[in-house]
Order: sequence, then C-alpha cells, then structure tokens
Amino acid sequence: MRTLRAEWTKAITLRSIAGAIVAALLLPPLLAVASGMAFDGGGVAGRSFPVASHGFETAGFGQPLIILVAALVTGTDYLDGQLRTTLAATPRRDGVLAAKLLAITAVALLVGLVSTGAAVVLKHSILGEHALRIDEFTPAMGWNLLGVAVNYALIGLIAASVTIIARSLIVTLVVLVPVVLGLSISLLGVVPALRFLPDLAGMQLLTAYPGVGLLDPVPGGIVMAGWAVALGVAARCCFRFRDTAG
Amino acid sequence: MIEVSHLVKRHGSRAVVHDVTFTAHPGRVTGLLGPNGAGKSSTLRILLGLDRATSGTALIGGRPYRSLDRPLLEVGAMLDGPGANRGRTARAHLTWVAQSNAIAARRVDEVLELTGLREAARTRIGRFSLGMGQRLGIAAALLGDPDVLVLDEPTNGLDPDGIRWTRRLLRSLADAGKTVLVSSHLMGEMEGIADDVVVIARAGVLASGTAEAVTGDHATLEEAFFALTDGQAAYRASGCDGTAP
Repeated sequence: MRTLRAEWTKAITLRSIAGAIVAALLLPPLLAVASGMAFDGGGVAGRSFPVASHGFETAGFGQPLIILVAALVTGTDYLDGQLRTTLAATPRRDGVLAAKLLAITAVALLVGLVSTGAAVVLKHSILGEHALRIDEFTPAMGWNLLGVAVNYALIGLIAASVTIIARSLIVTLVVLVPVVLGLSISLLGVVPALRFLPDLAGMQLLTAYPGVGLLDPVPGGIVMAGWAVALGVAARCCFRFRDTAG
Repeated sequence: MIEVSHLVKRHGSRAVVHDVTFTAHPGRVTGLLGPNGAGKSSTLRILLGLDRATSGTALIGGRPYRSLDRPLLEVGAMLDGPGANRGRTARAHLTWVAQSNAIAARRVDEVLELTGLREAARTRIGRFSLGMGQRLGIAAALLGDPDVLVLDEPTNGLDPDGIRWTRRLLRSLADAGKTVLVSSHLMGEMEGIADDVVVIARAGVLASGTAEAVTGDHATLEEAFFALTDGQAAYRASGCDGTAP
C-alpha cells in the first residue's frame, strides 16, 4: 500500500506524466467537438455511419497518449539513476512492479471512461437531430465505453512491460506508437494473421471497424489480455532478477 | 553493523569484486578506499540489494538488505548522486521516498532543513548544482533516521565548504553511535574523517584496520595507499613526463 502511494506520487509529480494524462483526457472530447461541427448529416458518409458509434471514433487517438503515460511511469525510473533509489527504498521488487502496473491500470481506466464518455456525450449533443439524446443511449454504448477503458488498461500494461524489458521508454514509443497509429492495420490486408497482434486484437473494443477482418470485441479483448499477461510475466522476470547497474 | 564476507561479483569471466571481507562498526566512520575499478561501488550496490553477489555475503545488522521490510528506517544510502528524476522538485522526490517507507511527511522538512536545502525545496532537481544534488542524496539517506549510513563518494564534485560540511556531518553521525560507511578514491579526503580504513583493489582487500594502523610508518594515509596499490590501478598514466617509469 505504501509502495502504491509512493508510485502514485512519483507519477503525478512529474510534469511530463501529468501533462500526458491531461492531454489524454482532453484530446478525444476536443476531436469529438471538431468532428461534430464538421459533420455533414445529409451526406452519404454521414448516413452510413452507425449512429451509436458517434464519439467512439476518437478513442483511438487517446491510445498513444496512454502508451506515453505508461512508458513514462515505468521508464522515468531508468533515467537519472532513479531505479537505485526506488529499489533501495523498496527491495521487494514484485511489490514495486505491482504498484506501477496498478497505478497505470487505474489511470488508463479512468481516462478511458472520462475522456471517451465526454467525447460521446459532446458529439451527440452537437449533432442534435442526427444523433441520440442522452436518454436514448443504448446499453451497447455502455459496453463500448467499458471496452475502451479495458483496451486502454491493456495497452497501458503492454507498454509498461515493454518499457521495463527494454529499460527505456524510447523503445516503447518508437515501436508501439506507430503501430497503434495505423502501421499494423494498413498491413492487415496483406497479412491477415496480424489481427492477433495486441493492438489489432483489441481494436474493436474501441469502436466498430466493419469489413477489415478484425477479431470481435470479446475474443479480441481476450487475445489482447493474453499479450498483456505474457509480456507482464516477461517484464517481471527481467525486473526481479536484473542487477540495477553494471 | 555492516559485515561483508568473501564477497565476489563476476560479469561473465570478468571479476568486478574480488573476495572482499570487512566489518564496519557502530560509532565509527569506515572508509572503503581503492583505485577506480577496484569494486567499491559494486560492493556497495550488493550491500544494498541492488546487484546480486556471485558468492559471499553482505549483511546489515546480521540480515541481507532485501529482507528488510522498511529498509530506510535502518539503512540510509547514497550511491553515485541522488538518483532522482531531474524534472521533479526536491520536496516531491523526498516525499515519495518517505511514503515508500511510511515515514512521516514532516521528516521531509526536517532533512531539507538539516541539509540546507530548505530554500531549494521547490526547485526542480535538474537545476541543482552538483553539490546540491549530493545534499539531496544525503537528505534522502537521513529520512528514516537510520543507524547505518552507506555513502558512495559523497564529496564528489563538492566545493571546499561542501566538503567540510560533509565531513562534519559524517563525524556527528558516527559520534551519535551510527555506523557510517563511506567510499572514496581520494585518500587526502579520508585522512581525518575515517576511523577505520579498508583498502581494496583488483587483488582483493589490501589492508584493513584503524586509520593509524593502515597508515603505519608512512607519513600520510595517502602515501600508505600508494605503497599498497602500486600497480593495482585499472588505469594509470605511465609517468609524469610521459615516459615509462
């Protein structure tokens, strides 16, 4: 518990991490407002867009920021020799790792629920007659929102594990961010097996991407969770047994 | 009390700690001395549970560091600077370190005051001078008011005033009954601070005992050190004038 408290303080007292969290909270609602104002409800594209999905299309843009938060929370310990301070203060390394992952999970869930929730509400209110009133929101939209939160938590855990294995947040950012920003989905047509990659597996938790051959939300979420567990176990082995220096 | 016994650390076939054995006693400042590459820092990292020994033991109060539940209450340490993110303020750094061992928040203010960092509490660590960074590391080491202090090269980069401050602090901590273990590669600096001296090099422990005993017939501890470590340094210039000796 005291380890979790310390890790939480560490996370929120660095401006870079606090800034990334704020950006992750603000970006999807801002994009929702912008796309809502640009929306042409009478056009062909407008009519073909599923009405209950409005707002959820912004969730994918929050994902790289969640990766950034997770990479910073774990990666800043590898800067300025701080890992020595962390592990001298708390020699139980499993406890340190658990506290970090728990803090990241909490932030990711919270950001997912708040930012995407706000994005959906804002977009629907801006679209007015072309969308749903709050009392018309469907249970499926609730599940979709939960899916976003779960996706954020899992991508956060994956990013944290990769950072610990690599001992550097740069590796995580260079590898994971381009992937979630579209590299893997653009290759999906060529190599269908890519749908089992962690980001694509859980992609339909964010919003529906019909017709591109992605896994359904629940099986996809399970595959993504499998990745998170496997990488988490690998990170734990590295973190537990590695020397701090030399 | 710190007890290090037959400590060996290898990276592959290369040994970095070479059968080191010594004891640091309460109420005394023990200087761990040796040329660069002798294994001083590695020995201290193993002592603090940061690295694993290949063989041998390093115990604090009879227990390995990793078995301590709230280690900062028993051992305070600074290795190679404060080990603090440059983007955090001094107060924020000390706060999370205190929280990790459930140390009361007012202790943060006390150690800031004690190390002369009160004015700099809200300054980001990236803007600290080398000396302020060392003070911050010492502040963190003192948070839990531990009975054992382990400091790696604490006077590195300090100005004369900072060096004098550190020497007085170490003396007062030892006089208060604490075990103080300090590493250094600067003999002149240890002269007059260390009660006991352990000299290590690539061949292991070259000498250990009271500072007087290790100095022996030599004029200074520094001369005794050079007599002991001649040919032991990992890197040494061939001669003052550039010719081989």
